[in-house]
Order: sequence, then structure tokens, then C-alpha cells
Amino acid sequence: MMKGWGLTTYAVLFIAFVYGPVLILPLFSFNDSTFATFPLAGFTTRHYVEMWGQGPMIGALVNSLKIGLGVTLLTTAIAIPAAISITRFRFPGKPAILSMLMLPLVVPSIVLAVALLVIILKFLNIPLSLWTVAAGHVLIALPFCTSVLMSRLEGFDRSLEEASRDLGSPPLQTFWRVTFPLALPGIISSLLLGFIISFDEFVIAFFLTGTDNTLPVYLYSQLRFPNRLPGALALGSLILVVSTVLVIVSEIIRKRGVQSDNPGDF
Amino acid sequence: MSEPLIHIEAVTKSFGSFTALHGIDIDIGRGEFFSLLGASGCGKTTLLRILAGIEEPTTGQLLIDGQDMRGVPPEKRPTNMVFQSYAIFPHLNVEENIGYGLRNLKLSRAETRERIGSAVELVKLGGMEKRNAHALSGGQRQRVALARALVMRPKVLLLDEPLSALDKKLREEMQLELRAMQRSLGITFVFVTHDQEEAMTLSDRIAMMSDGRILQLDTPKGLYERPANREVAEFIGTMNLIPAKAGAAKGNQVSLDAGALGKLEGRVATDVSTSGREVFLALRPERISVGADLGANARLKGKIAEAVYLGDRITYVVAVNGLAQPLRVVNANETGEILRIGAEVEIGWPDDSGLVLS
Ligand SMILES: Nc1ncnc2c1ncn2[C@@H]1O[C@H](COP(=O)(O)OP(=O)(O)OP(=O)(O)O)[C@@H](O)[C@H]1O
Ligand SMILES: [Mg+2]
Repeated sequence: MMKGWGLTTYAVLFIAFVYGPVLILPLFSFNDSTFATFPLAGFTTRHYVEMWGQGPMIGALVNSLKIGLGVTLLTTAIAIPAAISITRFRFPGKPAILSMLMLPLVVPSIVLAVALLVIILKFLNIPLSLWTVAAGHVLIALPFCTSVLMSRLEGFDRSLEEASRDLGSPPLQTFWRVTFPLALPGIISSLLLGFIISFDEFVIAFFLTGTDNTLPVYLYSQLRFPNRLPGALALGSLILVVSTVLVIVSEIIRKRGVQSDNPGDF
Repeated sequence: MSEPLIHIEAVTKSFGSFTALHGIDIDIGRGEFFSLLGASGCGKTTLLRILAGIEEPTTGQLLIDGQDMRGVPPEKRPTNMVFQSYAIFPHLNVEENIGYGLRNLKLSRAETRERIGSAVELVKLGGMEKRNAHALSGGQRQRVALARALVMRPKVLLLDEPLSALDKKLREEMQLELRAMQRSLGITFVFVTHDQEEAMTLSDRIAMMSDGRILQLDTPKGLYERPANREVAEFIGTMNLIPAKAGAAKGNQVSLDAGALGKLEGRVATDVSTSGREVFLALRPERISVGADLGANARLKGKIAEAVYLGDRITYVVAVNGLAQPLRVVNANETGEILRIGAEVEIGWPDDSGLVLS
């Protein structure tokens, strides 16, 4: 019993510690004051209305959404064949290729950002823009998306694909009729993950962007102006709600996937 | 045999430095129920996968219906396979699983429906067409896997231990059904199993494999009555082995010197000379008779060490002086009499029952 109590208290404290600060965001977004301080001044939704009037912020949001979407589509499209080859085929140099693919996971993003900046400006002579930010994001999202897909592909019986071939479906058709539907939960996770990685990435975006800002970079630059804060809080709360819903949806899809995909239950 | 349907010639398969198959030669006839029998890891699945086209042989040749299969991918081969794990598509229901391959045959819709319908009926899955794959029992999965391959009307059906996941009763039921199905459809079956009784029950012929080689390729009767060597003899049923030294041969009868047990005689299956070699006299338990007084038929003397009454038959373990392994004997229960443990008995067998194995 004692142990149970201890664990419960620990869990409650843990959750409060992790999520408490996050909940400050919606709390102050409804507070009828320009300053994010206690005591609360009263309830209002005006920040949510005014937020839409902050043109540059909305512009930055749109930039972030565009980059996030493009990055995750491209990254997942690259990661799918990579994960398939790594989990399905034997080829020379596979361990080396796999570690190269996973390397961005352990290289600090500040190092990557500086290196990319040098390459882009000095060697490639490409002007900085949202395109260069997106390219950097693809690089850091790739290992995450690939591992999500790999764990999914390793999770199902290889003989399913062999059975499909045996029943007359050539490789490409086998991919669409068996591999793709079974990997779909993984593909959805990969899409969500790629999007989230790009959406809240700061360092690379800060270094590689041109005149356009992504949302994190924009918000950081606006911290000096207190009157812009409530709008940022309102937007932050909205993003919080949307991402919570997204995570819940992806968890549901993943759970379904796990259930229907344990063909064995042997 | 007329023109064989499957011709396997000098097929080898290596995985890196490991050789899973060493020079396999098999011809399988049209409409035959052919089994690959052997212990785990002997290469049965590997050979079946080569037939299906999932693996390519390292060397050697494979013809199916007169056509060289080199480079022909699985989707273009006239074979279909029931996988060891069944490989039921988890995202499809029973009907979709069974109809999976039909889409590739470009049949009319009516014909597709007709074939699925009769396959469902054949494997007795009526009423479960819409059931999800993960809501099936082991036996039902096995039936789906079978139906999914059979709807394709392959020339050759490859079955990889399809019954090993089933309990004994269901397995025996399915054995009978498989055999009946094979007869009525006239499809050639290549069946993999490590269960000798299952292979004997089902097969026209059996290739007994060990460590990537074929030890003997024969009918069930041939394997049992004329095992080629000790390994086959011990894998198929029970065999008593009496060590002896081979002497002179007269026709296919060889005289044997069994040391303390005296002079014995045995039959050689092949005309390879055994003279002077260390061999075994092999005796099946049911060919040996024991009794207090066998008269002129007595060949050895022993003592009953164990007697088990099984109703229709009685099994004895008989210790023989000078023989390390006691003899195992199975006698039909003709009189209801059972010899006591400890009784001194005489042991005999008909002239042609003793087989000389090296
Ligand atoms: N892809 C592979 N790579 C390396 N070795 C393999 C591969 N496939 C099979 N083997 C080896 O080849 C040998 C034969 O395997 P196979 O699966 O054919 O055996 P089996 O007779 O079907 O056994 P079981 O009764 O256990 O299914 C085994 O030693 C196995 O480890
Ligand atoms: Mg096997």
C-alpha cells in the first residue's frame, strides 16, 4: 500500500512538473491583461481575436506550416525506401550506411546549423531562404522518420510479402497491397513526427533563414515587446490544442495498427 | 515415371559460408503426393522456397513442367505455397485473403466469386467470409492459407509443415482431408514435415533428408522395410540394432558374427559388399517374437525387463546378455497372456526380417 501511495504521489508530481508550465500558456491567454503576471485580471477572449491582426506572426505561422508540411512529406518519402532496404535486403556497407543515416541524431544542431550555413553560403552559393531551412529540417528529421518506419517494418512477418509474390503480385504491386497498408500506421507516425520536428525547430531555422521567419524564430524575436505577448500566448494555446489532438489521433491509429497487425497472436 | 512434373537436378544452396543443401536430385511426378521429411534445420523449407522461387539455387537446375525455372520470379511460377507461419494478410478478411491472388489472373467477376465460393466450401469456412484475419483460430488460419493457394489452381502446391501448429485431433482430421483433397483435385503436392507418421500417412513417396542431403527417396513402405542406412532406420519408426561383423554373402543373405550372441543372418537391401565390415542387424519390434519356448525358431535368449499392456498389443523391453541396448518388441495381443517382468524368454524372428545396415 505504502509503495502504491509513493508511486502515485511521484506520478502526480511528475506530471505537474512537466505539464504545469505548459498549462500557464492557456491560462494567461484568457487573462484580461497585457502582462503575464499573477494575480489574474479577469476572463477575456480578446487575445484570440487580436492575434489574427498580428500580420507578421500569422505570416510566420503560415511559413512554419508550409515548411513543416513540405519537410515531412519529403522526409517520409525518402525514409520509406530507406527503411525498406535496410530491413529487407542484405547489401554491402549496410551498417555504415545505417550509422550515417542516424548520425544527425547525435550531432548537436548548432554544429549542423553552422556547417550547413558554411556549405550553403560558401560552396553552393545559394541565398538563404525558407528553402534552405526546409533542407536543414529534412536532414534532422530523416533519422527519426527512418527509425519509426524501420521499427514498423521489422514488426511484421516477412513471409507476408513472400506470400503476395507467390500469389502472383510483382514487387511493386506487393508494396501497394501488403507493405504499404501494413506500414501505414508507421507512415502516419513518421508524417506527424517529421512535421512536429520541423515545426518547433529553432536553431537551424534561426541560422538558415533569409528574410522570412518561421514561427519559433519570430516569437523569439518578439519577446522584447510585451504588448505582442498575449497574441503569442493565444497562438501557443491553439497550437497546444491542435498538437494534443494530433498526438491522440496518431496514438489511436498506432494502437489499431498494433492490434490488427499481430497476425500471429500465436 | 513418365515425364516428371518437377525435375530437381544437383541443386545446392549456400548462405554465405554455410551450405544448406548439398546436391539435391529429385523427380516428382504429376499428381503425386510427395513429402520432404527430416529433422529441424535439414533444409526442407529451403528446398521448398527454391521450388516457389523465393530463393534461387546457388547451383543446379530446376525444371517445372519442362520449363527451366532459373530467373523466373515467384509470381510467374505455376506453384503456390502454404507457409509455415501461414502468412495470412492481417489487414484483410477471410474472403479477401482467399481472393488475393485471383486479381492477378484477370478472371471475370463471376468466375472470381465462383472460385472463392468453392474454395470456402472446400475448406469448410462457410459463414466466416467476412471474419477478420486476427479473429481466426490456428486451424481456421491453416484453412485460409490452404484455400488461398488452392483457388489459384496451381500445378504444384507447396506445403510447409501446414499441420504442425494444430493439436493432435485436428491434425489427424486435416491429414485425411488433405489427402482426399489432393486425390480429387489431382494437384501435385510437395509437403514438408518433420513428423514421420504424418509423412507415412499422406505420401506416395518421401525424400528423407538430413543436413542438406537426401538419405533415401522411396515409398513409405520402402523407407520402412528397406531403410538405406541406420539414420533412416532410426528416424522412421523404431528399430533394434544389433552390432555384428559381416561375413560371407550367399545371394542377398549375409552371415553375421555377433560376438557373444553367436552366428546370425541378415538380408542386404543393396548389392554392396559388406563382407568383413562392422554392421548392424536391424530388426523391427513387431517382427520379433518372444516366448518361453519358441522351439526351432529361437535365435537368442533374454529376460523381460519391462512389459506394457496396450490393449491391442503388448510391448516388451527384453534384456539380452551381451547386448548393450535391450531389444524393443511389440507383439499383437492374441491370447491376452502377458509375460511377467523377469521371465526368461527365447527370442526369434522370421528369416527375412533381419536387415543388414551399415
Ligand atoms: N536466409 C538464411 N540465411 C542463413 N542461413 C539460413 C537461411 N535460411 C535458412 N538457413 C539455414 O539453413 C538450414 C536449413 O534451414 P531450413 O529452414 O530449410 O530448415 P528446415 O528443414 O525447414 O527446418 P524446420 O523444420 O526447423 O523448419 C538451417 O541451418 C538454417 O539456419
Ligand atoms: Mg522449415
